[in-house]
Amino acid sequence: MAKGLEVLLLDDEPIVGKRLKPALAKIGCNVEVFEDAKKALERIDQKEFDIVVTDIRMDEIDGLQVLEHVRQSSQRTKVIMITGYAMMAVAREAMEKGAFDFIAKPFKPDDLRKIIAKAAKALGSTIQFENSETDGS
Amino acid sequence: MSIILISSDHYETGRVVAQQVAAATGYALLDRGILGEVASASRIPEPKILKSLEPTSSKVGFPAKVRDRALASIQGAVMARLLDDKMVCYGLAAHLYVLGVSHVLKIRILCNEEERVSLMATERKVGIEKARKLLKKQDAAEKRWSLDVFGRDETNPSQYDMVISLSQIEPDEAVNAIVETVSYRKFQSMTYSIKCLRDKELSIRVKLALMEKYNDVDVTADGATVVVRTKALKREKRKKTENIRALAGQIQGVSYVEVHVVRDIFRQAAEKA
Amino acid sequence: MAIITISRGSYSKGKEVAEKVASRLGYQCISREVLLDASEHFHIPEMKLVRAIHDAPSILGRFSHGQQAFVAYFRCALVQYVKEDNVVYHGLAGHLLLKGIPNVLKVRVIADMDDRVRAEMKREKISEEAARSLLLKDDEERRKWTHALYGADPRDSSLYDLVVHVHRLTVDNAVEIISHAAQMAPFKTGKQVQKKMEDYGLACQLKAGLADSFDNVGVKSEYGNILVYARGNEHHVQRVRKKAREVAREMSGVNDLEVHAVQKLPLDVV
Repeated sequence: MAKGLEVLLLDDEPIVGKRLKPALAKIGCNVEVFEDAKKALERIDQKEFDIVVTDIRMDEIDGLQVLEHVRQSSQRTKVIMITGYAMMAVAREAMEKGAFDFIAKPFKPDDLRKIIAKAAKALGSTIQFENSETDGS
Repeated sequence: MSIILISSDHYETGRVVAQQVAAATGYALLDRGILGEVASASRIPEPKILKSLEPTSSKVGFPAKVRDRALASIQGAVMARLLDDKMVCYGLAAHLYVLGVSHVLKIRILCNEEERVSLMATERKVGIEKARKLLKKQDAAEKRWSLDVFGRDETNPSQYDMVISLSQIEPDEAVNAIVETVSYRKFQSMTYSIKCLRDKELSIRVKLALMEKYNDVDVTADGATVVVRTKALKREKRKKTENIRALAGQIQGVSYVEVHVVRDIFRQAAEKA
Repeated sequence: MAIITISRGSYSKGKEVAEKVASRLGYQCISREVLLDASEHFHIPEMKLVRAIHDAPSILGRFSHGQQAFVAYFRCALVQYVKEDNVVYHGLAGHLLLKGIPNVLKVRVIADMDDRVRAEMKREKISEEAARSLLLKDDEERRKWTHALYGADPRDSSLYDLVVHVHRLTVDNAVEIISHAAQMAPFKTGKQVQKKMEDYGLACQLKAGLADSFDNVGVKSEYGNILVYARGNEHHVQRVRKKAREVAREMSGVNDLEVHAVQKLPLDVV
């Protein structure tokens, strides 16, 4: 079995972490959830994650700043942006700054899992991904 | 994976640039070659399909309903193809209805003004001053058409990422600039932008299906949910809503239809009069 | 080696783009220096010059004589700067004031109104309504000014070689695009273009020298031979001739001077 992907999930809404962590764990991801961007950045400085999933609109530090920070620390880490306020300009800015992908809320856990699978492939890893709506989240 | 939409104030100039961009990028070229297929699918004669794209063509024998259906058919065909990605699209007014998709680069090409005048003079066999006046009239007609049909001013530079004038810049240099710009990461497709495009494609497919019976519908899609806005008299509202739900619900990709009906106050006033 | 003019509405990031392009290409970036230079050289208070350049013409839609003179002074100063080559100019109507110089790369930078409003609100610490109102007023002033002077709308894309949308692209993208464009063949300033610039400079200088006393004159220069066209009766033309000779005596590079009476000024004059 392939080594699990190390994923950091950052969203200031607790429900997001509660919902997505088990959904990603199902496909073999080791997920650390953060609601506080500062703490997440400290953790990113300590450990190189394979994937960082971050919300954009947060207090104090926004997701684009997180993206820039991650890209400075590690070119390898794939950053996936999630947001309830998706707009063309923000999407373009995120891509320009090196985001791997960008998805608008609301989305199904399967949608994120597909992106994670793509990111895994880009990292040279593989994920057992089966299309499933019944993930209990 | 990107899409490039090109618009121009002179059809032939824009067409040449579009072809060269397609060749330079290795992208497919989507142009008026699809109009035959659009005609068959819509059962509207091809000359009328083409006419719907021509701002200066006569409106005689070309009712607005037919024009709208022709344009919607073109949009449907274009949107379906743009889902394939890596496409240069020209001559199908796509820059006016493919909106808010981040991996789409929109370019307007302006022909050298004096050259346009000269070409017009040759084409219409008139003097330079007369040609200049005709060109001014043509430009005004194009602006009016784009506002009338799509609610957008085609000549407004804010519609585009970039406008390139060929007064001094050579066409091949313009092509290089476009190819370079589309290579920016911001024009790569992402889950969000692909979804935006899919939503637009679905909404136009639903609209086309509804236009068989109802011309006054506005459709938006979000995933498999479709919202249809329309007008009706009070007594027609229920039946119209049911019909729209039934028609739209049959379209592949639709799982839920929401219908918003506002009172058609003009028809109501007309009936009372 | 190029001359680049960057036109923009206020808070459209045009200044930022201009400075970055200049830095990237190793060019001089000029804007306010031109005003200061014109103000000093022609002994006009800077604020007066700013108002003349910035404000829309009078209600009759035509420039007052004083305003025309100030525009002539400004243009003269601007041309002296761009003659040095390798220049990025950002400011009012460079693309029109330098119309007589070939091979100038004319760029317009545009941004969404909402973006501009946000930038103005932040900088001036005013409400959204106030910011929007100020911006619309400013845009309208520029439109009227450009229309009065050149019969053109600054929003008309055909006035420029490139129009770049910095909300859809970014400042850095715009800088890259403009920098590459500056290296295209049509914008390279060779000997022939240099000669034309010198002639244009002479014409602007003479025009500025006449502007204080005379409106309705047009000036052009070819290989240092200056032609002045004046509308008016013979007496008026004589006065123009006398003044033109005085001004030309103080200039260098003038080979010959002719003054002609005309009904209508030619299109290609300053």
